Amino acid sequence: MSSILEVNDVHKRIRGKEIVQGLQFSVEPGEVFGFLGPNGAGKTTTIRMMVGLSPITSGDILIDGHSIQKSYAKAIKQVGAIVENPEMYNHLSAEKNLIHFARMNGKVSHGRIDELLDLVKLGHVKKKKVRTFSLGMKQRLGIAQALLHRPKLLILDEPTNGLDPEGIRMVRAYLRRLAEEEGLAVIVSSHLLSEMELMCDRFAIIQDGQLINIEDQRFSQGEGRLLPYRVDVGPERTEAAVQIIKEAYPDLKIEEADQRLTVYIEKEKVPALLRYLMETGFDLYEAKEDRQTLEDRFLQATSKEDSS
Amino acid sequence: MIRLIQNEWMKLFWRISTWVMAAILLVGVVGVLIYAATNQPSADELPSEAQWKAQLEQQIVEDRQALEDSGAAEGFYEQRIAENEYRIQNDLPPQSATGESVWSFMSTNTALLDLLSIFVIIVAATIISSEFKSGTIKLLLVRPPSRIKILMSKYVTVILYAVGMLALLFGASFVLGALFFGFGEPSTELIYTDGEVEQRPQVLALAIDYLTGSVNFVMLATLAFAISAIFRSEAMAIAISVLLYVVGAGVTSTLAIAYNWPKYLLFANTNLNQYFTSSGPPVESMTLGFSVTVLIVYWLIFMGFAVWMFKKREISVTG
Ligand SMILES: Nc1ncnc2c1ncn2[C@@H]1O[C@H](COP(=O)(O)OP(=O)(O)OP(=O)(O)O)[C@@H](O)[C@H]1O
Ligand SMILES: [Mg+2]
Repeated sequence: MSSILEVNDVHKRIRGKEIVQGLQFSVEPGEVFGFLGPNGAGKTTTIRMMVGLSPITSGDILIDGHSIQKSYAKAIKQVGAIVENPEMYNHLSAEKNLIHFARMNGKVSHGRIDELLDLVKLGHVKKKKVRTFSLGMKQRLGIAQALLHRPKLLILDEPTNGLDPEGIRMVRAYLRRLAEEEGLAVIVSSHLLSEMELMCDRFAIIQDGQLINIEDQRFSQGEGRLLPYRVDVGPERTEAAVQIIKEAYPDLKIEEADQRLTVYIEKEKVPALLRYLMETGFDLYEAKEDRQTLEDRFLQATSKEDSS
Repeated sequence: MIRLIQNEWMKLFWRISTWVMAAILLVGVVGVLIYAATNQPSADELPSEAQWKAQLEQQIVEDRQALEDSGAAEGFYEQRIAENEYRIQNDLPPQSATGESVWSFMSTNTALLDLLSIFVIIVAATIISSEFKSGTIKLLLVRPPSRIKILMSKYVTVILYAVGMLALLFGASFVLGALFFGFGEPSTELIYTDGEVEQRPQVLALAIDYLTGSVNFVMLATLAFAISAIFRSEAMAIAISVLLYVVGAGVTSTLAIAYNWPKYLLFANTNLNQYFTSSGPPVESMTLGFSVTVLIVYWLIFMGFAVWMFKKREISVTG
């Protein structure tokens, strides 16, 4: 399957300052991809380059195989986006706003507009002027606008900004459904870490315009439910334990760090593994699920950069 | 492109200010109507042919005297004497002797073209900058239509709005004038150039007034439009355009007294009416063809600027 979005060595320089420094990643259809980083990391700048609002200094961004720089119209056709705040025409009704954006994509289908208004639960206020809307309602209208033309790639800059818990849950559930059922690729940026953890399949951590890490959540939370277990068999015997486990479980992913080992294993198989280790003569000091949260990893990843 | 224009029209239509402007224009027409109606002499008060001829004779005598006494405002008196003599010779009664008709009413209302120009300038100056102000420019520019098309749809909308307002002014003047004053007998306008007096039917003079007025505000709208694309701030765009409009003509004609080069300035050429009336162009060597050429060049420069600015810029709402 080919990537819907490819970011190839993208740089952005504004007045001599390098805001984005060689970003490189791709997003596949059907996944929710997070864009995580502290304030000023360059998330919005990168998203603005993806949608052609801001020229790329060097490198290229391909959407569905089309360069946003060279074949803008073809590339942008596949994109639905909200950049920064969900700004709409305040003096027009919700419905008229959607008619406006539908016209920009070609023919207007009133059925589609009503469908989306119902979907984001704004059907009952569609004749009301957007001026009277709360931030959350505007955010939802923004999402409706972005989905109007059935894009393959949805780009949302801080989509849960200003939403109440109920709204956040709704957006999250809906984005996941779109990705899973319709194969839409979704990019969301946020600095709400817990939010990312719940919503994304993968996410990139960026700081100071550089990619620090790409995490694949499917490892730890996906269908296979491979959870990281930290097993302490005493520092001097860690090496030996790794060898022994590999003999019995050749497919397991094992990490060894600080003379402790972490295995990625399904919960149900944990007792058997531990029994096996004890039977082969290891002393078990501790064995527990490594609940290092995303937040820890995030802070870890970004602080490493700070100290260097 | 049609859809984009529909969009711009929808946004304009639902703005309260659009309707306020139309309402003010109508109030203006009604104001002129009330003034004209209250000052109109009734039919039996209108002077007979002998009476108005005598009045004009009297005026001529007075003007000759004034000319001899002071020698000031020479041109003004000479023109009035020549015109009055022409009217007596050719049996062409002046406005005051024919009474108000729909034609004279419409002619008076051309003064409202100034007001209309300011409204068109405001719309032209805000149609781009308001999108930046509200941040909606980001949504507008992340869709397949090219920036040029979006820019052009906005320009076409400004022109449509101008035409609409002109039609409103023209239509309201015509309907109200016809209702209150009837069609009457159109009087004849006189044009005085280089000591020669020519006559022109009032209806033709009226058409020329409205046409040249349109050219005037199309140019100003284009200027405001370009300024709006460059400055991206509503207040700046309106302030600069209206300021230019208000002082532009005055400064230009002052400069034109002393120099020749002001004839290349925009405001020396926007008022094409100057070639059809007694006043004449600010610099003598100017001709209608010259002005039209200069206007076309300015138009191209303004549009080129607007396109260039709108295309290349980084779209950020704050910067
Ligand atoms: N037009 C500009 N001129 C100069 N610097 C800019 C410009 N736009 C952005 N920057 C800088 O680029 C950096 C990245 O900004 P960006 O808005 O992309 O961050 P962000 O990751 O979206 O942050 P946040 O989480 O606060 O939204 C910031 O340091 C900002 O100051
Ligand atoms: Mg941001």
